[in-house]
Amino acid sequence: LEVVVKLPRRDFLHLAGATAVASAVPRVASALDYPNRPIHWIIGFPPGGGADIVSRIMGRWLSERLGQQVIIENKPGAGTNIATEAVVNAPPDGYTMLWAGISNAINAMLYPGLSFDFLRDIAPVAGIVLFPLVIEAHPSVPAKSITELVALAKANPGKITLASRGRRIAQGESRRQHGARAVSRRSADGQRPPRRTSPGRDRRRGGLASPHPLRCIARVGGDHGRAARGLARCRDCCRDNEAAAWTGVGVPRGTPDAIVKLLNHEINAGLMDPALKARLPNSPLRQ
Amino acid sequence: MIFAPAEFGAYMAAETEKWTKVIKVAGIKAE
Repeated sequence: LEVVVKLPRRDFLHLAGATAVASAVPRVASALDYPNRPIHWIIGFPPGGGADIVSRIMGRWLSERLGQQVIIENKPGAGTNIATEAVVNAPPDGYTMLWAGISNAINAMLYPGLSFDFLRDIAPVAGIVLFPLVIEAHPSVPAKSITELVALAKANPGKITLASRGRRIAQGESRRQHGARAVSRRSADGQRPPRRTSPGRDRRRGGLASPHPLRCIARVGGDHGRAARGLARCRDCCRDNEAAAWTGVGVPRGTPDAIVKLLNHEINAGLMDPALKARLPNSPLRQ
Repeated sequence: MIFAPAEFGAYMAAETEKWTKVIKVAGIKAE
């Protein structure tokens, strides 16, 4: 006996529709019970610097709020491009987040051969903090202010050297550009030595790493709080010479809106939490 | 920096535009 089942076209379409619905269910469910496993927070800086510290403060907050561990993963290199690329290529499911910032904005033009387009491939989630930046000098440098530093550079063309935290990374880049502009606009060419400073060797004002604490010459962007009280802003001397090292979080483009909204909500709740806020750099520094 | 996702997106775009201009005008090259 042979039974041939003929499906009317309408029934076939119903079945096809049912299949489509069935295959869509796991995706919807994963957005609904998000997060049900650890989340990776990728950061393009090594451990120990400001970006790392703030990431860990925020990561701990998010872990508690979301009920899943947020793992901070440091992927330094290529001026944060390695970290960004890793997130661009991760599945858009909310389990991989990127610490994004001013480096991404700078790198878009600085690196013409990137395999990704930051604005196209990374979906914005939330802002985090503005890092205050400073121009510092070795105590042996006679200049005590930005005005004096510019005068010194003018009087000694080619003799003033600039170092940055990294050749192409955010704080380093903007510091360098500021330094270079501050000097070159006043017809003296600043030289840059091959020396680099990194978070691990950061010579902060009064820091433990250096026997000769560097002297703050000017503040550049962000809210420096009490630590920089009385310190002139760079823009007071050099018009338009102002930048801020902004930071935030992004996810791979295509991540469900519900997840983006949830992450945004929880991050903003943290930024408004008085206890957490007091630990972040754009609130007045505690001494 | 408290932003809605779209606001942060607009900020990112404005910053990218700004630094693209700075790098072009100043002729800055990656070393």
